[in-house]
Amino acid sequence: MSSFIQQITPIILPFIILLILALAAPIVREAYRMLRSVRVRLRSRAAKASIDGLTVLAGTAVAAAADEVRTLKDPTKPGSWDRATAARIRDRVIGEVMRLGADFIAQIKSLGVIDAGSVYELLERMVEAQVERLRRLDPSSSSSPLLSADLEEPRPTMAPSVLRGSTIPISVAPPPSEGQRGTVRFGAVAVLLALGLGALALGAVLSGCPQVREGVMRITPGVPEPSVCVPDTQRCAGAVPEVCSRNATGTTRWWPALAPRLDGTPRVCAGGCSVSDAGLAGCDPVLPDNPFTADGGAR
Amino acid sequence: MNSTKLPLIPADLALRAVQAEAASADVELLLPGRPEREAILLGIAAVHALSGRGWDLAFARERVSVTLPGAGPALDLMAMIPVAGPILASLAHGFRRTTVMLAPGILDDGLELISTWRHEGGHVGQIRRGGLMWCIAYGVVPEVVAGAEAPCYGADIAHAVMLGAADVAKASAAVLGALEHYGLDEDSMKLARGIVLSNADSVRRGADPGDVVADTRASLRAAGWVG
Repeated sequence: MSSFIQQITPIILPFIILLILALAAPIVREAYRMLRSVRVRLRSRAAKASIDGLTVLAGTAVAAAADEVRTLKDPTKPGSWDRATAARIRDRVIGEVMRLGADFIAQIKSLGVIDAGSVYELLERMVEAQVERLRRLDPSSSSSPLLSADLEEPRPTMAPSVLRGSTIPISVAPPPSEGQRGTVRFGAVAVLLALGLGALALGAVLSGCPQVREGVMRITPGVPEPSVCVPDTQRCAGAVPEVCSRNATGTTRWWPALAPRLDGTPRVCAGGCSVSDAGLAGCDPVLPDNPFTADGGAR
Repeated sequence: MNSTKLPLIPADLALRAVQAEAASADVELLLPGRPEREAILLGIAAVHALSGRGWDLAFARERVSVTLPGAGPALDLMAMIPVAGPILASLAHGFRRTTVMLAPGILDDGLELISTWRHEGGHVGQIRRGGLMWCIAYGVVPEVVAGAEAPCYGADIAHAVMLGAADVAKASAAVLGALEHYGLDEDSMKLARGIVLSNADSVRRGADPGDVVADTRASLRAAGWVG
């Protein structure tokens, strides 16, 4: 019929831990969002650097091929220009970019921003873009469409700036949008709960340590301060019987023998406290009023 | 010492006295039949099943009374936890105030009902004084369990003797037997035993330890008791 706060406490502890987690959750969420944002930014920066490197290589290779193409297209010079020749030179330029930019391509693949099958398509479009760029820079070549004029199928024209972007199948994860703020995925909740359970388990382990127990007692309101006393002895602290305890750390303290009132105030012996011959501290009965003093003294 | 048997304490009168005291002390009184009590008991059973300690749910349903600290503002914070928070907060809503859940098995006996309430009232006072930290300490430190439970059991002795004409030695032996079930270590059990013996000695001297029985009498009289 007794109280079972001790048995209830394991149930309360998760609530307390959840309270702590509630306070920590916004911080954890913000840190998670920032880490994710930083990670995305780094990935994007690395991908951009690799693509820029490939773009430079493509421009160099296209520029190197430009003179050859002009020569082939010039009727006064040896050689001829046809579809097969255009495809061959294009493939050779792309091959050069792949060879010279192998590290950049490997970097892009490792970041997962493009699949292996799309690498050739990416380089192809880079070369096209550099051809277009070269044509704009060199008006004299406007009548000489260089490589792009002879492509088998029309392809979407891409400005160089687009190559820095994502028309090609680059899957850089976007940073969380404003609308996602304040939402927590189930995984995040699971992590928080796991942290809580971990804290619970840690608490359970630590609670078996006498020093931890003593530490808990020292910060708990209502637990008496350590005091020098002989274990199992009793005393009267004013009108309150007290018993000396000792725990595994050797710390001793005086505990009151009376339960507090409902409002938390301590109870005291109304008739005073004394220690018996047997060494027991206890309340003395309240003495009845002296009948001889009630009427003003002895007759 | 007043060990003569007093007029019977009717259960319904004792219940009215308990309800009045709980209301004036801002304590939530959870009577049997409420689903929250069953939820708590099942929770305790689950914890005990995990810990391997013995726990008889059927016995607990009938005989165990519980005092829980009120969550208060903590519930509002808990409700802020995304997804799980509102659910947990709604489950714990009944514990916004410090709550005493009385066992069904004590409701038919006025003396047992009022003495159980006084025992739990001691815990209410301890929680009011020490807050949630006290409850945590209670959960992990056997010495705190001894220092918390033994004075409340001391009040049980005083009620059994002074209102139920029980024998001091038998009442003391009964509460010491009950304290054996708290898993106290040797040092803590010594503390508990010392506190119980101190209260028993007070009762032997004819004293009401800390006027705990006087408070009960006043409460019962306010509810119409003529003892």
